[in-house]
Amino acid sequence: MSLLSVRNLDVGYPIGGGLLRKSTLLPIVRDVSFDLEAGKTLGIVGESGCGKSTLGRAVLQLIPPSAGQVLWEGTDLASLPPEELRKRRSDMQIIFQDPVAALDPRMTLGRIISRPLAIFEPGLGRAELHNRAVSALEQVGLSADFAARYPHELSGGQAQRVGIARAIIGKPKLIICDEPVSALDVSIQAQVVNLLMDLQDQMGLALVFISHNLAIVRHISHNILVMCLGRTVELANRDAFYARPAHPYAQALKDAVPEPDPVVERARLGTSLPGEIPSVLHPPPGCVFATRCPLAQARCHEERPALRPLNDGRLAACHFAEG
Amino acid sequence: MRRFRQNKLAMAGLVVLLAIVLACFFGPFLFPFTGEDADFMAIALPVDLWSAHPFGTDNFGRDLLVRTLEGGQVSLAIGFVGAFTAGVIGVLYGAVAGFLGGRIDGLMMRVVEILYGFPYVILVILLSMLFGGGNIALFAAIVFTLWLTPAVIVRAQAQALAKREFIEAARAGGMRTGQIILTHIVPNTLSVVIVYGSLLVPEVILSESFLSFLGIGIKEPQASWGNLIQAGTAAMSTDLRLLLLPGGLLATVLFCLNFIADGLRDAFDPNER
Amino acid sequence: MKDSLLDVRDLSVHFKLPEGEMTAVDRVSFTVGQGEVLGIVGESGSGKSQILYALMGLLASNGRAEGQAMLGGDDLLAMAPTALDRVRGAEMAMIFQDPMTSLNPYQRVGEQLAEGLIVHGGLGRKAAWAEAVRMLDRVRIPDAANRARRYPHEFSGGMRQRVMIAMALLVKPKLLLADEPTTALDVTVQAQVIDLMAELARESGTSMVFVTHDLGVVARICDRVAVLYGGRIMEEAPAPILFASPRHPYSQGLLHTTPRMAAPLTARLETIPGTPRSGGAMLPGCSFAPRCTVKIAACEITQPPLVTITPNQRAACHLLEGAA
Repeated sequence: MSLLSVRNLDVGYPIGGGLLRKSTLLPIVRDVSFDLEAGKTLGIVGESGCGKSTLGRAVLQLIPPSAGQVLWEGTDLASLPPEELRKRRSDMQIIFQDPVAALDPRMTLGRIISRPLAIFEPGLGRAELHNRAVSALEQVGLSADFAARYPHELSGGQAQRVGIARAIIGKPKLIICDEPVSALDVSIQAQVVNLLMDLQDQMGLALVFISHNLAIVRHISHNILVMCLGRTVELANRDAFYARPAHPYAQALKDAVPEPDPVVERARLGTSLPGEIPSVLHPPPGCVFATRCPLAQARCHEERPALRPLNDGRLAACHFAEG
Repeated sequence: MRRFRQNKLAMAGLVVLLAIVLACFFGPFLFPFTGEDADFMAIALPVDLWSAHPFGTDNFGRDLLVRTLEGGQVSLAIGFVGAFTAGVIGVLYGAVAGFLGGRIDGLMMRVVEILYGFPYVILVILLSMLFGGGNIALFAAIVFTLWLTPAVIVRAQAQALAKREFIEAARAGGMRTGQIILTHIVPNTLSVVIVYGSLLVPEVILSESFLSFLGIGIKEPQASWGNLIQAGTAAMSTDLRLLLLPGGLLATVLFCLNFIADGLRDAFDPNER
Repeated sequence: MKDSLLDVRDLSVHFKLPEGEMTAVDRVSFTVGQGEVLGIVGESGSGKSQILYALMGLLASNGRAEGQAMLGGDDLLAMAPTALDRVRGAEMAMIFQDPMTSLNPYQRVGEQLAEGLIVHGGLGRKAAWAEAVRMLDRVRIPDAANRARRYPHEFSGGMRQRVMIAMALLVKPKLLLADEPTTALDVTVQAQVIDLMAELARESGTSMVFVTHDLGVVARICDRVAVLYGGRIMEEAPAPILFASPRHPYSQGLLHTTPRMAAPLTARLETIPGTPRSGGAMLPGCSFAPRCTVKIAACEITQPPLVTITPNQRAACHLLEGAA
């Protein structure tokens, strides 16, 4: 039994409702499935509108799924009554893209970090809460005096460390990382990624690392899930994926990441993928990538390819992926 | 708090306000008579700072200074308590509506809009009659009309805050909705609430003054700044001091509150720490 | 240099803050040749965007620029606002980072494009509109004639940025300043926009100053690169040379810490210790000293001057002075 099993998850966003009219559900995530074991990282990549952030939140039930299951240690989270779900919250946490906005501007860092603990272990006194907050701070590489500071005094990298401290204080088993380094300086991104990997080793954490940056994701992930317009287009083991992506969209994403190498980049100049990312409101019929795919044929525009296993065990949703 | 103390204008305002409050509540004890004692031997005395009646008397021989101070007790009490009550009701209502959103918010705001549609004076009269007349009823009626605006303001704040990531983090941390509203939403609306709250106090006092001016507020012989100002305005052409003393004190209190509000807002802004 | 289009000498930018004056840019000098693309790379606090704002005369009211910036024969920093207006939008144009907020939401896109032509180019409304549509087509907006009548919110981020590029290049400026124009875009769209900018610049011979934090973007479009840290230039070299053999410890650190697709995987990513500079006084020594792993005593005492190491490469580091 996997730690986390997501099965055929659909997540919709209600639009157009009012006091008297019922809203309709706009599908953001469609039929996504994956498994995650303790101590492993799943990298979820995609561009705007692919639904990766919504997927992360739906796993945590911060956004209610509209269909499908999220099995945590075998139990479907959506089927639990609110009290039972709240009890499991200490096992799964989240860190955000904008690290400063993720902190309540009116609270000291010590209080921000220890708040979840005050909920999960109500018996703890103030001194104990403070001590645990300080030790979480030290675990993420910040000194104890940070506990008295306020969020606006922090740099982006420090704020993200505080967010991580808050996430780990309850000793969770899973952390959803929603684009945790996208807003940080280049020299800080590597620090934070290294920290997450250290914590994964120390605590046996399972991580879901959501990002649009394929180069960063490569370092921290064991498996890669590529999304486009709410659907999975490829799910593969990291090494197999980066050696050769099976799906044309995944290949396009990989090619589009700018490499700090003028020889490579100059050769690529002018070869960028044409076309716009289709709008979530009007998804094309057939394959989600058909409008931009260099290999697209008539069949791709009419018939949506199913996610099927290829020879090496990975999954890809393309009519022409080999296997 | 230290930053508030550094703001000279705000501190001056606080000191003057406290002086006036103390004067209103303790001042009358320094005099052998009350504001309602009519002394027919001393009708309409002019200002004579060294006499028994420093600011003179009115047409009934009642000492003007004591009467004004006693009136201050009523007006300030209604002002502060009324503003506080209206503020608390408005903040909680607005925070809940803004945070929950959806149909509940829609319903709650429709109620507010309907109440807004009533003409103010008619609403006060109706409510006053509903609560049985008298000063408590007047107080309740004023509060009932004044909580609407803080509710609308806080609701807008709460809506914006509800989308921020630290609220999501709180939910992921297992907090219940009620806890989130009290711990995260309300404190973050504080700076707006404080500024508006301190403007509410003069609004309540003015409200009461206006109603007394119309004759439906505090009734004679009890004094309030409202009905004193009303009497003073009527006698404006003949005896200006009947208007100047209560009017001057009211204006001073309003100024002080404005400076204090500014100071509080600056002091509470964590970005300036 | 004689044939350079833009010659910036000792440009400094200071900001007046409640706690005193803060220096964002400290005596930065560089040149941009005709038809050349210069990349300015830096992280937050490096002052890279402020350089562009100073050149365009767009500094905040508490900001002040010193030094010289010669465009053609005129010093941009010494010009009166009205004279600068004539240069801005005619000889020099700027593209900003956030395509969401750079366009007027209440005006049709075609009108915003045509405005520049009417004001600076002296064209009539019909002629300007036709030019605008032609330019939209040039930047590959599909169905340009109809799209020109739409409002900005009807365009996606990538398309809006292309509209910005169209607006900037419409007046055929000699110099284009770009402040992180692709940072807010999706990665496939980013590649398109960079390719478009490179193509258009080449076609019209426009020079560019391209500010970014992304080394990959620099590798794709820039001819020469200046690496900025803490308001000062750390290294300057042609792009192939900088990437192949960076000499300054900061340049080396940046290159090593940027993950590459093709490089072998290591257990942990390489990092530069510490955090980028944020405000505070300028250091007496090298701005990078607090984070430098190879510093010597002199690094914290005196600021290393920018010296020429090879005919094309300059760096500011005490450790390299012997090699000059």
